[in-house]
Amino acid sequence: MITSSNDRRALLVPALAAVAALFFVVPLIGLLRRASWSTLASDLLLPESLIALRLSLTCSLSATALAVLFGLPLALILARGQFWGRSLLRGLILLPLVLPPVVGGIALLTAFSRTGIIGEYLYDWFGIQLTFSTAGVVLAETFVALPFFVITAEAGLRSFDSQFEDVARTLGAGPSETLRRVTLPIIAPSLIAGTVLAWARALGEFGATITFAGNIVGRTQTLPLAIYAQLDSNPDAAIALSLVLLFISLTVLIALRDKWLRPI
Amino acid sequence: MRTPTTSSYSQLTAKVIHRHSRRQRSDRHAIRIATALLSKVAFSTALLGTALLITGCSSTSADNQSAETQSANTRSSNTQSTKASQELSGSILVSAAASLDSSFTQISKAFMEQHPRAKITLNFGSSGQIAAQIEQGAPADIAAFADTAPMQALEEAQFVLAPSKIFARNSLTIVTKANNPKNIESLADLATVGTVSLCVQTAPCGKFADQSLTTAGVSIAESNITRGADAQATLRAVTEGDAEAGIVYATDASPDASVAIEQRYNINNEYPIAVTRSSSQRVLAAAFMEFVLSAAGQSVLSRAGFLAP
Repeated sequence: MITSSNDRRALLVPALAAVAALFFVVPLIGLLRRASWSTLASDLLLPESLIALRLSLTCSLSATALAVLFGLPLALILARGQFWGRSLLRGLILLPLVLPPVVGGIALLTAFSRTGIIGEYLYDWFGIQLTFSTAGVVLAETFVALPFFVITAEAGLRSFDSQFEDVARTLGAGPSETLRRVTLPIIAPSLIAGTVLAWARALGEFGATITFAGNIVGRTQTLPLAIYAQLDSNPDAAIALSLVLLFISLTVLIALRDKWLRPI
Repeated sequence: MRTPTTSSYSQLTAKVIHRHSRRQRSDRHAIRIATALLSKVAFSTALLGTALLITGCSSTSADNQSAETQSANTRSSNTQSTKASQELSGSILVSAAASLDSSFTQISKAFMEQHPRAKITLNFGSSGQIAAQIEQGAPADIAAFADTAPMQALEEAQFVLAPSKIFARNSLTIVTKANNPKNIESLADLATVGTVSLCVQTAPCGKFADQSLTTAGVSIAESNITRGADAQATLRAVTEGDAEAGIVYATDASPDASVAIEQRYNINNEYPIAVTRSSSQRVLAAAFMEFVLSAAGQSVLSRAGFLAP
C-alpha cells in the first residue's frame, strides 16, 4: 500500500517535467517544419539578412562587454556593501527584468533622447545623438542585459565562502590582488553563466531597441527587428533568420556544458 | 500507597512509547494518505487547467448557430430583416489598419449602442500585418485596409467575401515636430533634415510614401530613414522620438505639425472593407460593414479627416 503510493508520487515529477519539456520542444519542431529548406541559403544570403546578422553580433557583444564591465562592480557592492538603500538599489538595477522592453525603451527615450534629461546636454554640448544610432542599440541592449549579469554574479558572490579571501589577506595580498587571484577565479562559473545570459538577452532584444534606436537598415535593424520587418512580406526569410538566431543560441548554450558551470 | 516498582516504570514507559509510536505511525500513515490525495488533486487540477486554457480560447458554437438560422430568416424578406437587425447579437473581431484607430473605435461604440447585444472587438495593425494574419487563419470577421492591393490579394485567394467596398479615402502629409522648428516646406527638404520616419514598405503608408518621394525625385539616404511598423508607430517616432520629420496620413497629423505635400506628388489611397470567408458571424459582420458605409459611419470618418470614398 505505502510502497505503491510512493511509486505513484514518484511518477509525478517526471510527468510534469515531460509536459514542461514538450512545451519547449513542440514549438521548436514546428519552426523547423515550417522553414522553407530549399530557399534557406538564398534567404540567408539576402543583403538585409547579412547586414542584420553582422549588426546583431557586434551590438550584442559590445553590450555584453559593457554589462560585465559595469555589472561586476555593481554586483560586488550589492553583495558585500553595507549601506542604506542597498535593497532599493538592487530593486532598481533588477527593474529591467520585469519591465516590458518597450517601456524600457520609452524610459530610455525620456533620459537620452535629444529632449531627454541627459540626452539634451549630450546633444547641446557635444552634438551626440544616441537615438537612431548604433550606439543607441548598444545602450538599449546593455540596459536589458546588465541586470541578468548582476543577478547571477551577485548570487555567485553571496554563496562564496569568504574564508578564502581572509586567508589571502593574511598572506599579504591587497584587496585588488585578492579579487583578481582568489575571488574571481572561484566565482568564475557564475560569471561565465551571467555573461552568457546577458549576451543571449542582448541578442534577442527587440522592444527597447525599436523604440529607442528605431528601425534603420544597416544602422539599427538588428536580427529580431529584421525578422519582424520580413514577417509580412517574406515569411520564409523571416523564419530562416529565426533559425539562425536559434542555432547560434543553442550552440552557445550546449557548448557551455555543466563542466563550465559547476562551482568548485 | 503502593510505590511504582522499576518493572511497572518500565511497563509504563513501554506503554507510553508504544502508544506514542502507534500515534506516530498512524500520523505518518495519515500524512502519507493526505499527501497522495493532495498530489493527485494538484495533478488533475493542472491537467484540467491546461485543457481549459487550450480549449477556452476558441469561440462558442452556440452564437454561430443562432446567427446561421438568423441569416436564413433575414434573407427571406426585407421586413423581417429590419426586425432581425434590432436583435443582432454575437461577437465579431474587426481587423483594421492602424490609421483607422480612433474612427473605428468611435464607429464600433456607436454600433454597439444601437445593438446592445452585439460585441465588437478591434484589432489594429498595418494592412500588411493584418492581411498576413488573415491568410494564416486569424479569426477576424471584418477586414479594413488602407490600400486596395492587400484586399485584392485576399479576394483572389478567397479569404474574403467579394465584393469589398471602398468606404473612405486618405492622403499623405509630412509631419514635423510641433511648430515646425526646422521650417520644412516640401518633400525636397526631407532629404537634408536628418532622421525621417516612414512606414515599412509592407504598410500602405510606407509604400505610398516611397512612391511620393520617387515621383518628386527626392532621395533620402537609407541611413536616415527609420521604418515604423505601422502608421501610428511612424508618427510616434516624430512626436515622441527624435525623428525630425515623417510621412504619415493626413488624418494622423495634427495641424500645427504638418506640412502639405504638393497635390501632384501626393496620392489618394482608398480604404476597402470586407467580410472574411472564415467568419462565423456573417450577419453581424455584414451589418457592421453596412454601418461603416452608412451616413453615421461616414460622418465619423469625415470628422476624422478622411475623404469621401
